[in-house]
Amino acid sequence: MVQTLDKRSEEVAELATIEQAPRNLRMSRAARRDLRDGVLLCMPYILGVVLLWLGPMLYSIFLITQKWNMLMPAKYVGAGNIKRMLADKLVSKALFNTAYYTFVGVPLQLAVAFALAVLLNLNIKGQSVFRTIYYLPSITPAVATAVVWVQMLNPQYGVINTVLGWFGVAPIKWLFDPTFAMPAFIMMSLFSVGPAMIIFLAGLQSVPPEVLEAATIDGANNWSRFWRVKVPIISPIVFFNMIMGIIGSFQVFTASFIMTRGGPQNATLFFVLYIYQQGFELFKMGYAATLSWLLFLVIMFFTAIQFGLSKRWVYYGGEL
Amino acid sequence: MSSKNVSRRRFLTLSGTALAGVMAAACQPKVVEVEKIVKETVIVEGESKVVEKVVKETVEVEKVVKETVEVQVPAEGGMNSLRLSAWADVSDAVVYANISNAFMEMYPDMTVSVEQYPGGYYQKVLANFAAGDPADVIYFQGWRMPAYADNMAVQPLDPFIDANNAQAFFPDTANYNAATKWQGKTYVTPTDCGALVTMYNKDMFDEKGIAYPESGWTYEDMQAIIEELTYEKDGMQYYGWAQAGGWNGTYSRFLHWLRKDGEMEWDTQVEPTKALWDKAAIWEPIQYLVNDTIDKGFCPSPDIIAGGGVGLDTGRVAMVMEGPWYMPRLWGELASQQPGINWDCVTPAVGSDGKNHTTNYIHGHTMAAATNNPEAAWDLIAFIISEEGETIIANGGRMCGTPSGINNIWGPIAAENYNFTNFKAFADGMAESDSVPVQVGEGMLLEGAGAPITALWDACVGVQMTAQEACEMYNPDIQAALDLYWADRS
Amino acid sequence: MMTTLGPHMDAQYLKEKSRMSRRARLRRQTGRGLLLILMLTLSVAFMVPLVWLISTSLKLPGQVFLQPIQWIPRPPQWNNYPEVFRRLPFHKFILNTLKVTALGTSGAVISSLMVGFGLSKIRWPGRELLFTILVGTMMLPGIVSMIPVFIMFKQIDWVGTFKPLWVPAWFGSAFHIFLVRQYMLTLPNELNEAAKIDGASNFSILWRVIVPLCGPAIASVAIFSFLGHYNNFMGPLIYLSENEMYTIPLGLLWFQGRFGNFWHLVMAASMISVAPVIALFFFAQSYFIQGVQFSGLAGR
Repeated sequence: MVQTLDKRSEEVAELATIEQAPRNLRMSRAARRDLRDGVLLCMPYILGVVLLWLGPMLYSIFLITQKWNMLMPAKYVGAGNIKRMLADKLVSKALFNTAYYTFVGVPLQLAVAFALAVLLNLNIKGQSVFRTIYYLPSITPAVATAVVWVQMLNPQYGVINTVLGWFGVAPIKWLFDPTFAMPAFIMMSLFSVGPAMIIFLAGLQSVPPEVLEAATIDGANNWSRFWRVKVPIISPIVFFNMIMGIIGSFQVFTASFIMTRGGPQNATLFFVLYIYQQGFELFKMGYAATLSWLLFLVIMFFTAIQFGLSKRWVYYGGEL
Repeated sequence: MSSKNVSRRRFLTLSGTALAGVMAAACQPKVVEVEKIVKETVIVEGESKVVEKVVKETVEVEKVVKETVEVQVPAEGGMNSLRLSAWADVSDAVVYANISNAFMEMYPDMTVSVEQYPGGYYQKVLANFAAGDPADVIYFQGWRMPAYADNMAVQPLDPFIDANNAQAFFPDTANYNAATKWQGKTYVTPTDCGALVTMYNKDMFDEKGIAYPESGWTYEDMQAIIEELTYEKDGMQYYGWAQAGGWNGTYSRFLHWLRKDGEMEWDTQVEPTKALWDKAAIWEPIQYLVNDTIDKGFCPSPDIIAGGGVGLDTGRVAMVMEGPWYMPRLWGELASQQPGINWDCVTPAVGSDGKNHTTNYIHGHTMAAATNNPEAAWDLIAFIISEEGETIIANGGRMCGTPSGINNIWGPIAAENYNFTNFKAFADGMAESDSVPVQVGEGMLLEGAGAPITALWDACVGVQMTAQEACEMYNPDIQAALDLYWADRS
Repeated sequence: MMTTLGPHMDAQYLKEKSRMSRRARLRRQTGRGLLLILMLTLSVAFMVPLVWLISTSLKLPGQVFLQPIQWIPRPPQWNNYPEVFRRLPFHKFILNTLKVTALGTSGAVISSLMVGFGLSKIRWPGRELLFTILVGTMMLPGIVSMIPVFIMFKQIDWVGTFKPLWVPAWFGSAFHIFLVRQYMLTLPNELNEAAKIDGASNFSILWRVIVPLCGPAIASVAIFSFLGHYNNFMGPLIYLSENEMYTIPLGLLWFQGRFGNFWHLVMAASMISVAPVIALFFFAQSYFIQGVQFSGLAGR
């Protein structure tokens, strides 16, 4: 029974607490050992952050006050970059585009990925084949996918409009129409849910059958077994996909770079594309750094909200 | 208690070994042959001179340590190596391999290594410059050079040109000067170029009994032909005109039409200060050749073009403005329709001032300021633009850089390979026109993501508004971009 | 065929099945049939890009963009494939890519298991701070740090070698570590608590208790890391400069020339690079995502 298991882990946790030293500066041997082991095991990442990330990150903060074109040494400009950013019409446009893509796209992507994972978990014949097929778009090289989609989205002959035509929908201009270009990108993103799907599947398959058995014995039917047992147990995985979806969608770049270059009329000007343009084509690395940190703050804001909300719905069965 | 307890010690040993293995793989000591240039004093003809000798040493080092010794003059008989950067293009690969081989035959003591950067050519160039390690001779498109010249990343070629009397290689006309020079100094050679001429489908002209256009034909002539050559036959729609494929960024392909009456969309094409898009001379050609022709069906709409299958190369369009790079699609093994179509070309129709404003694209080679072997680098550059080098380039399919090269070297080869006759149109285009894409230094956004001209073009191409409305709407944005550019430069 | 949830579900299913009425069984089978149809329809949609890719790889240059789309090229140009190898040293690109990918992927798996465990199953002060930093690092776009990191690698003379492409994976990537941490947090603590009471060290718990349960997570990290390295184009572009050292993505870009693309060759080269990956994925996922052996929990 789920209830029983909960209680058991509580008992064990209590035992562990008793082992710990009373609250004073001296740690118990076990706690000290845990600290040492924790740090040792995390050492590769700690080293990686210090060696590979910290320096460039600090430099990019430094660049906010500088003008740097990568060919000459950086020049101090004070708050110039920030003033420029506040006056730049395209910054708000790019932020809007990216937010549109994220807040419409991510929920849809999660829903599709989850639905596919559930389908695959039902053990219909030929699972391995289906799994591979649904993952295919993520394996195909980006340039090939881009070319294919431009074909599929063609207003005159594309597959999408042909299928829509069967339902009586007039041809949509997709990538040539500022209103429909972003929906086209969101539609494309629904085909790249392979990674999220695999992760959901991994989670669904790690649910211990004993728990499900216990629930059945308790009288749960398929539906409540799914929603009340399985989903809460894998909620950390759902949370992961949501966070990664948000963080990732805010930084989308490649598709728009290859397919539309931000057009038509800036409708698909994603924020990172704009940063790339400013940094690499206009040689304005200081401004690009400023924009990057703005994006960081935006992403952090929304991620923090999600982490805050997560305490209400994410169940960490294995939390220590 | 489990007897198979993995102790901390064992774990650390295991991971330590793994890590050591990784680090060992990463930092293997290398055995390297290092060339050092050593100065020694010798007695020559009764005088003691300091002479540089090249000494080879086998060194086992953890890292390869580069010896940077001041070399004033390349030692006679010394080994010089040059790095030449090129686009990683299937054709360029062949061209520059041949050039470096031919060069090394001519100068046996020099080695040239060709570096090809696929995909993000300028990104790689920029990264190399940022790290202080650029190639010696770097290929540049003319309009990309100013940003690097501004920052003294590439060096002026004038001292070498004067010392070697190489002025003949650098035509002294407005277009070449605009593309190869920056603020009075020469930086880029005219190695290869492109001119946008009008290519036409002879069969479609024959179908309607219209005479082929000839040099000097007028804009009005062209408009008439466009309408006559739009027809339907056997259930297929044929178009008189098609804008260049790839709709965004067609501004630079459209220069001739914007300037055909002698006016310009800027006050000057090198470092403009004023954006002058909101005048009739500018929006009228856009209105006709972009908005109207699409609207009235004389030109396939952008989605039809992007969908493919409708173009000059498939015999469905009578005329396009295109450059020499388009020819492989018209005839030969890479042609869209085998064996190809019957085509020829002509200088674009002229406007009220009767002059040729063909868009010129000029590309060539620059010398990095940080090069250790400027003399050798110049030798390589001079070789590339010499007749022998230009012949290799022409054989590789690229159009030679100068009008005489086009007429004498490239023309006959291309005419035979691509089944056309009027290669003189290209030469005339390069010789008579002043127009090049506008030259600005570092930090000016004209085309691409977020750029005002691209947005203007989208609006026209999508027939969302008239050209006049688009020009009037976006001219302030273009001017704002210019103002920002000048503010940054002060 | 053994179901993915172990023998328990089979027994349960048989039990339930015998109890169902014939009508209920029919309903269930129709349900399954409908699901199968749904999955097949979706499959068609998901396969369109790959089918177009294969089809284009066998076309002549001029046929690539003909409308309406010609799905079956006539006649199929099989020699597009050897031509890819003729025009470029593509076999070298494949070898280079495999080398970098193998080194990088093994590093990613090992480091993410270690750090993921350290962030989930051991309680130590500073753990949550490190986790916050980890999530934070993912929020900064990498564009601005690209050049400074390049300059850094130039200082230690790693530019021009493969090292900048795979060594960083051994330090762990935030994405993989986050994934493994979340996954480990779904594993109930009974096992590791029991092992701890038995006197096992943390490292022993990691190696002997947790890792065997992490099949799906390992498979996921391996797949993502593999694809990341395989398709990475920016890194190889700026860190490599000798043609012989280039990787597959750079090879694909090569066919996209300055003045127009050799699409038929791009697609043929893409197919050459994708086919083994698809095969690898197909076999790997059948092996790893098979189901988890809860041997420790059985018999309660």
